[in-house]
Amino acid sequence: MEKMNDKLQKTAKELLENKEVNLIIGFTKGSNPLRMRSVFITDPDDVSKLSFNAHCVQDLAVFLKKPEVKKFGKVGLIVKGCDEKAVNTLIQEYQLSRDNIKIIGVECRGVVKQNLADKGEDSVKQSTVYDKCLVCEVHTPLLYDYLVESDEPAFEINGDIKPYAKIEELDAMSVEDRNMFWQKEFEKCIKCYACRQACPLCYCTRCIVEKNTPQWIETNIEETGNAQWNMIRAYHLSGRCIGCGECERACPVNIPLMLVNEKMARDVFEKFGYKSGVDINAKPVFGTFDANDFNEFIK
Amino acid sequence: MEEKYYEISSDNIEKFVNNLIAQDDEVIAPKDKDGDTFYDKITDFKDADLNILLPKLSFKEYLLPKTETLFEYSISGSNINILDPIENIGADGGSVNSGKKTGKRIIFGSRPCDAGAGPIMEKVFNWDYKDEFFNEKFKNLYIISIACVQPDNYCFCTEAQLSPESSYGSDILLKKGGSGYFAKVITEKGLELINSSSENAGLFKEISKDAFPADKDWKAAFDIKKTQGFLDKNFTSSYFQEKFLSCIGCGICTYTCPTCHCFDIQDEGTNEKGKRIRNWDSCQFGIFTLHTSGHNPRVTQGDRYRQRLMHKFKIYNEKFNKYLCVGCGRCSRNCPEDIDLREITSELSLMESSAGD
Repeated sequence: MEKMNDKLQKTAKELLENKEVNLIIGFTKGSNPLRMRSVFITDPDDVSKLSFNAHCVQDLAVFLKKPEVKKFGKVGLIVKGCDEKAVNTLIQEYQLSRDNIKIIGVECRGVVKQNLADKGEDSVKQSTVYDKCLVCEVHTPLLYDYLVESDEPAFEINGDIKPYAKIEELDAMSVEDRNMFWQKEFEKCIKCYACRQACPLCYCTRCIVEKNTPQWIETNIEETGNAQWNMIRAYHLSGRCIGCGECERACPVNIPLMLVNEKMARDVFEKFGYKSGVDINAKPVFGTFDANDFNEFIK
Repeated sequence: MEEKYYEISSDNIEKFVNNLIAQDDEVIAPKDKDGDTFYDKITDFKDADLNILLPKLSFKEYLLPKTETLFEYSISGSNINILDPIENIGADGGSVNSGKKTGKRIIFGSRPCDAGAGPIMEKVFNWDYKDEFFNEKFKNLYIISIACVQPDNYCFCTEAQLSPESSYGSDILLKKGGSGYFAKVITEKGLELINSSSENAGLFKEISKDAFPADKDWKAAFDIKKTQGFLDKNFTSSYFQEKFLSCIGCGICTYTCPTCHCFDIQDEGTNEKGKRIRNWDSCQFGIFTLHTSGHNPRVTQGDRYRQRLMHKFKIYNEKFNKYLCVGCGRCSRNCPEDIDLREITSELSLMESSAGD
């Protein structure tokens, strides 16, 4: 990790010194040895705070939507491959200008689940990393201005663990049983909206749940309101979610939101051949029209 | 009342809790769910997970439900019916929330921090208006706490004027030791539980105050009064704007907090029938202070987190002589961006100390 950190710090320092960016957003040591947190650096002398390891779970692209961060203008962002796809999507959706961002991509070998790290887990292996890491196709980010290579070996995958296995299980269920499963999950929701806030792509300045003329989504934190919120969150991210998993990690009541996100990503790929966050020049799947669409009603 | 002291074996504690359940009292305890622990209803003592430090969420929802119905209405022709849940208490069991009677509800295996939250919140719910919804639930909530042995790095109950062995807010405080537990009974409600049947009373052996283990000498790592001192003088400090650049404005810190109690009143329904409800709300949401004019006095997340600190460590103490924080550390443990309240309050306290030198 030392070599990685040196390169990270050197890159950040140069960007700040040459005034190519006004702010670097990266990772630094957190509240305990197995937690990392974001750090915002404007002074080249502070770059020694930057580091990277398998506990860098946060998707720092989430900060690009913050008005306080936008004020800085040009930003240098340290991202893992999965998180970098959020940057691509923001560019695709005209939320971010490519000229305003320097992407410092880090080669990532997987991150340790935070709930395990909080119990002392420090090793990167198939049983300790997130499911997204098991199916990761972007250990090296797709797009970057600078790349910081990893000096860690890849972990072994032997097929013992099936990522997102619950999806097949749910697909095989009857509609009623599936409905019951989700009803039980959504019952736990406390509507803290951490799933929305932790999402780099939930950037609406006024979310649909905050619109009350008319009130589209019921405000109650009970069966109806919770189901409506979780459904609308899912649909607003279909064809957009890049699978960073931040919503699920943030959720304080452990709703398996990635099952919804991953299922939708699979459906979108199957029906439209589209993967989100892969190509900044591609038109977003629901922002385009194709005369050969399989749906009759659209023609 | 004068405190009473008892000793009870581990086997008898199990019997006691199972008796309470058999008596039809609702017993809530830390319970394992999806690999984490939450306060939840138990139907047997063995459901309780007492080996963890703290459940992920507090038991606030038993005092202030996530959504609470204040009244329901229905209209047909010129007939308007208003259903007031409070008037219907005593009907056929259940909670105020569902417009039915509130039964006795017992939290078993609370921690001293969570127990302390009740009386702290009670102040604001009875400050000018007497909130009968809260009071009804508070009156019926019986709290049996177990003292902590080893707080973790996010805990700061001692700094927040409680301690890992504090009995503030508990009806009964248990401490591990002897043949199982030593029990300190603080309130009439606590005594009522022990004397709820002759069998239960027989499980506890009364001991003298001297035989009850003394509290350890818990030392505060920083002075919370200095934190307040900093907040008194530094509303415009750049600290808040810089520190909370990393805050993403979710409501986790406030929603998992045992003392945060803000709510939002909403009407839901149609012209024919509906209800007025109050839902949990959070000062960390931008819309919380957004005026109809479009102006927002709290523009940045720094402004919003500063408000949270001000309310907890300055305003509430000025008004009620209590900090609106029990030092449970949930906001820090659950924060997706690793914002640590213990670290912040300690930092502010130190900044105040060095400013005074």
